[in-house]
Amino acid sequence: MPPLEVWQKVLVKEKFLDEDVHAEVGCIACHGGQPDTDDKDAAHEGMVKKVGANPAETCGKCHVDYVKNAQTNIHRLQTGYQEVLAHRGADFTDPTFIAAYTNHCTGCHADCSDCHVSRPSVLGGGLLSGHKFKKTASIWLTCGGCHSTRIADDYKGAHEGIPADVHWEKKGMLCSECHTDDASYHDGSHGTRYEDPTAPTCEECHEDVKPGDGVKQHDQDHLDNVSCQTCHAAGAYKSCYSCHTGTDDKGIKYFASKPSQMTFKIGHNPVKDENHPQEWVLLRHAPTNKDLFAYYGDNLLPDFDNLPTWKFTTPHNTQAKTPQNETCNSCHGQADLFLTEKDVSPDERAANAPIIVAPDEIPKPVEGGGS
Amino acid sequence: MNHRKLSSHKHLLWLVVGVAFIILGVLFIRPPAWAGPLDAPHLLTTLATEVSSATPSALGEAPDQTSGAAHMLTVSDAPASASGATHITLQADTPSSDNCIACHTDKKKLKAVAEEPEEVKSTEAAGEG
Repeated sequence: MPPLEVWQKVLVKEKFLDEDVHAEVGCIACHGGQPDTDDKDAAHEGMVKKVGANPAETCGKCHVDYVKNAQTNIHRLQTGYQEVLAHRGADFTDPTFIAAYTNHCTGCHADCSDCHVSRPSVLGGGLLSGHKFKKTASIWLTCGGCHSTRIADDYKGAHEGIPADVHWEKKGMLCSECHTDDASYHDGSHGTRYEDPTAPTCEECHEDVKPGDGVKQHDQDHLDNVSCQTCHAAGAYKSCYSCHTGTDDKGIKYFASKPSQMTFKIGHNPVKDENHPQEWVLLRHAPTNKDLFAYYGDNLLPDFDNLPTWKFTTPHNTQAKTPQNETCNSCHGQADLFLTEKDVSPDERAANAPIIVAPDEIPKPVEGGGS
Repeated sequence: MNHRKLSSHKHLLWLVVGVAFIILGVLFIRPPAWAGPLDAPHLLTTLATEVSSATPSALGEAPDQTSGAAHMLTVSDAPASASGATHITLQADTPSSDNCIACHTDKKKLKAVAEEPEEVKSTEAAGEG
């Protein structure tokens, strides 16, 4: 998604001024700045760009409940990041760690205006639609603006040779049609996205999937032990490796990671719980490593091995028919589909030990091909 | 007698006009742009960008932790300011935003005055993210 020209970012549509209730109070009421001057610098004196970043005192004056509940929301607090880092031993009272976290992790924090008025900063920012307040966030500019490489690109079929998700390709479904619950956007104090008890499940719509539904692989054993995506992800999805952080000699913060790779790996479930009970799930490598914050200090993640670096994933490239579900033996006996020791770098094997698949755990080929 | 009747009708007429004027005033006249702030309390916002430490209780239900890290981070309300302003007082309907609107709705004017911000990407940056 190319960034907007700088003038486009701040162009306000007359339609917004004429029709939107938010325009009634006038620009300065929310943004500050100076009236009665045509001088650009003088007019912007005291001006605040992102009013929505202080929701309790701005948006929250009218949208009381939304803002109150959003105080602990994952988009605002990045509770997922915090929980994962805490599991890896991060000390959130240590000023050194806080400096690293603040410099490199809080940029993904989103407040009201990041979804409802503006493009996310990773897309270069700018007004979404001439300052119009969009009740439903834009699928590609907003949701896809942040969740791009690991969700939006899969969903729209941006990777060569891998089709778009059937929910988009055939039904044109927006993110909010599955991710309906306010816990995703406006409330909820859960940690990672997979701890959200209201997160969507395939079964909510596909309740007719059960043994005897005419699909041979939908026997009780597969349905109980294999996640839907394991069979229905249409192909590889992105894994990222070896992220390092720091500030350069000009004081500019940076990330440096190795090139991403398209991977498809089945492994043991690292987040097995009531909502994700299956043993076999898809995994992707997260952009993390032991030296993630080494620039800032030694051993800032002392319990790094507490969590795998290959994490549970639900690729958004679903199709009914996929290469691995074509026949039984498209999966059974296909060692390359499984995360085995050779796929994991030696310094990460301890962290990933619970989810690595041993050679004798790979399902044996079915006699006769099992078509 | 007729004179007294006429005078009483005049009073009644003025009363009706006065009431109608007040009703119209309530319905249609909004505070002018040059007026002072409304009675609603001014809204103060803190604009310093920071992340402050807080106890898990400040987050409501704290995530499960295995490492003994007792503190998590909260985000203070913290927008970016164009001019380094640290707080703002919100005032309904005032002062006039005519100068803002005149420029921000005019493509030509914006193109002429908008400046690309300085590129801040580090030369050390690599990969995606």
